[in-house]
Amino acid sequence: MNEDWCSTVDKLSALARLELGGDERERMCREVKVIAEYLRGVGEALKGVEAEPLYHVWEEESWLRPGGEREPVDLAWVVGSDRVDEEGRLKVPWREVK
Amino acid sequence: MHRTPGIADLLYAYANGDMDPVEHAARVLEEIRRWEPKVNAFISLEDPELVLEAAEDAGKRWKRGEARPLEGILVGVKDNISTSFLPTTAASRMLDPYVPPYNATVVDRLLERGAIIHGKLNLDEFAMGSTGEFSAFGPTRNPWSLDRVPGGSSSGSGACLAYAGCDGALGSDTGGSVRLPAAYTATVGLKPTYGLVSRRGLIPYGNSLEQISPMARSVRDVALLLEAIAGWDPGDATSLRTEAPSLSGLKPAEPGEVRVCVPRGLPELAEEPVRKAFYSLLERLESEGASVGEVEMRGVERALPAYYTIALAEAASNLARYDGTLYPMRGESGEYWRYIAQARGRGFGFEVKKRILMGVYVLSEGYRDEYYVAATRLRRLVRDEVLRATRGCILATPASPVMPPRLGERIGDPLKLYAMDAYTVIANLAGVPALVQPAGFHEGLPIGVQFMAGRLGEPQLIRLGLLVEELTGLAEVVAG
Repeated sequence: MNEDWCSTVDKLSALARLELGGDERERMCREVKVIAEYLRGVGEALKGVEAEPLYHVWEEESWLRPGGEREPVDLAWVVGSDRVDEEGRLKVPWREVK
Repeated sequence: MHRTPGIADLLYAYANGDMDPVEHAARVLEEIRRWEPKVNAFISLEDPELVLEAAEDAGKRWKRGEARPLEGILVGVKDNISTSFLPTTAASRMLDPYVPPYNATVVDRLLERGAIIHGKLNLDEFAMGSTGEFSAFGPTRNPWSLDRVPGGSSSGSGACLAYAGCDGALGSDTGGSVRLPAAYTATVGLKPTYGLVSRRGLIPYGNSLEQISPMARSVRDVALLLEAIAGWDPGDATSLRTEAPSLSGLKPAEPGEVRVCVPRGLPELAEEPVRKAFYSLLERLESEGASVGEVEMRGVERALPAYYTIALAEAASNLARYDGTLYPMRGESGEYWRYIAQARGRGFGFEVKKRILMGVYVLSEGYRDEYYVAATRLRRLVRDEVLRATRGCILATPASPVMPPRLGERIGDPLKLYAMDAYTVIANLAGVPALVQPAGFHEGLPIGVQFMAGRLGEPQLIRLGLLVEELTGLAEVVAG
């Protein structure tokens, strides 16, 4: 059973571009299994319950929805005018390389 | 235990000329020198000379009658909140010694109001933890008992307040990260309504859940800090278009106007000393004339796994940006993907890696509906239940089901660790404000109580918190 989870951990590490060193892989196999089984319990609480997914607690007032009001933010205001060129593009790097 | 002046007391004393900001800053720096070798609350400290110079400037402003609302107050800032004048590491090797090119909006707001930011505070790496033990810079210890944790992830924020190494602190709260430290260090933490405080400049972990949150040693002081940092910010698309609430002049609630509800069955999850302190406080409130009842709430018993599913998914997405090119940690391999995996493998600690892998898992094809979508459906249920319940009363629960654990006691078992957040995650899922303050002590260790109000119900929480403080007498207490 743990070997199954180790192969899952290997796939996840590859997807997440994450190298596991030392004894991390073995420990991860044990803990990922325990956590995955625990998180599966959410489904049980939903038996017989009608509820749509909620991704944002203020969904009914989101300004990102079509028709909503949203003012663009000026780049110079965010990063400072010295970091924006004449055409409004961001200058990188932000610090001088010595 | 003894008491030390809080922010409101200091401002009053400065205004009357009873205390000088330099004298106060020197005292705080002395406490830091005394406690830091044992506690490890700070990751970086501002040069003491600069702190004293800033305090001197503050003193001059007070004398000239030009003092700003937080003039000469020393505030520590959690090290996942960007500062352009001190490194911001999120307690991770991945970011050490990154210095952001700009200040978080909350930092600018504190500085504009005269606060002195004298250091960056320790935390669980990327705010992922409940004990303060997952920092690349070493664990923080609880000043009330050095073999115990101060709670996390804002471990340094709670600890520096508990030994008087700061007057106020900023933390961030994704699932209880200022409220657990408040409960374990006899301080006060207030997670605001989602969107009330700008997140611009906060290193993200779980965007849909987290809020930058004030901590202090009294309810009045937390109100002063929240008033300073709250309000609309065009730099944060999730920021609410609302003015900062007026909180600092609020009076304690009259007991007769207070209606408190306890979610049925929830306090029974807590250890006996915690339950005892919780019910004893409610009895006291009731004897003063408050109404205390119970409320049935569907779904809250499963809030914890739903919260973790969502938080892990968001963490995996957020931390994808650390690819070994933009931030300090680098890989070695000449092969591109290997280079990234190396940099991430070296830069992240085990707990962060675990949360990233679990986040990828719950979002994977074949598992997404079973895990992530199910959690977001339960989130709607919990949010709607909380909004319904808080229309009629303020919800009360213990802050944590357990007393402050000993170092190492909880981190070996992920489920035991996550269980510490059982009461606090509810407010993050629902986006409502939640206040934690001291309820009592057991064998010298602090115990906290949590109150939750409806959206933008911060004034109600502050008024109730002031009343509770009058009943417990537990304001401005420090260890030692």
